[in-house]
Parts: sequence; C-alpha cells; structure tokens
Amino acid sequence: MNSETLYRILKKTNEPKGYFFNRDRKITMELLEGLLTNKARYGYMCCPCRMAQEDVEKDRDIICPCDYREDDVQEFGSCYCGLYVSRNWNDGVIEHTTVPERRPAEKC
Amino acid sequence: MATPPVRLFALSTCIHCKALKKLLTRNNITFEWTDVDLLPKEERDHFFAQIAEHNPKKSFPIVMIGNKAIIGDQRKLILKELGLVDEQ
Repeated sequence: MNSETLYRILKKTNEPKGYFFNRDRKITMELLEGLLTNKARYGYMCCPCRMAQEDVEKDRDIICPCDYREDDVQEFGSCYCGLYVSRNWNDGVIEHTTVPERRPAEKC
Repeated sequence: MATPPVRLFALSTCIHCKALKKLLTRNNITFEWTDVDLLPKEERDHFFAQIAEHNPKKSFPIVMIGNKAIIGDQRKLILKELGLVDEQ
C-alpha cells in the first residue's frame, strides 16, 4: 500500500467521526509515510511521533489512531502528531499549539 | 559569542523532529543529528536510561544545547537559548 491509498481509506473512515487530516498535505503525507514505515518495521502502524517498544501489546495504545487522539483533539484540536485534527483546527478557529504527551510515563 | 555544541535526538518518522531540523538548518546552526529509533537496541536502551530522569515519557525531539536539554518542539525556547530570532 502507498500513502495515497492509505490517505483515501483513512479519510473515508475518520472524517465522518469528526477527525480530519491536517490541512497541510505535506505534513499529512509525511506522517502517513511514517505509519507505513512503522507497519513495515514493526508489523503495525505505531504512532510515528513516539518510540515504539517493538511489542504489539506494549504499543497497543499508540497504534494509530492512538488511545489519546479523542482527548487531544477535544482539548487541543489536534492529536499528538498533528495528523488528525478537528474541523475548527483546520479552519484556524483553534490556535495551533504543541500538544503535550498525554500517555502515562509508565507506559512509555 | 561561540554557540555551544548542538545535538538533536529524533525519531526518523517524527514530523516535529523534522521541523526542528529545518529550523536549525535555516538558522545556520551546525548540529549533530541522531535518529534514536534507528539505533541498535542496546544503544537505544542506554540512551533512554541516561535521559529517564528528565524525560520519563521518552518524548521527541530532544535538543541538547551544551549540557541543556530542551524536550519537545519548543522552537521559541530553542532559538532564545541560541540567541536567535527566527524570521519565519
């Protein structure tokens, strides 16, 4: 699978839930490439902005979309990576800030 | 004033890490770059053991300016530490 195909599949399933790709297509495509790299490396699409432990059980909460996306998009308008954002974030209604790591330290 | 050595620890797939690399490059900062996810496991474990106290969540990027570590995409803080103002 290439990143264009992944883009189309994920867009179709995520937009109806209120999760949009970052309007900066270059960023979005680089992150999707990162997901495909991790899929090839680890066997699952681990978050490209986090260090994988190379153990699917330990990394389950950071397989994209990660367990923290819902709270991060709700609070900051964007997930930790900036791949998934809200409509308001894309429209510039929400200020773009750095999203802090919500994942508990004991899982990292 | 001479700039202390700058090192950037990153993940090869991380967009925030790439953004900082571009920031340092366009500000003509000489820096060393390490993709921690591409290191052999032993080296990676050693790296994380060293930073555990200050970075328990293993967040990236990590910019070292001399002995000072700045964790995350904190470009304003990084530029301030380097005595620079980014034009972009």
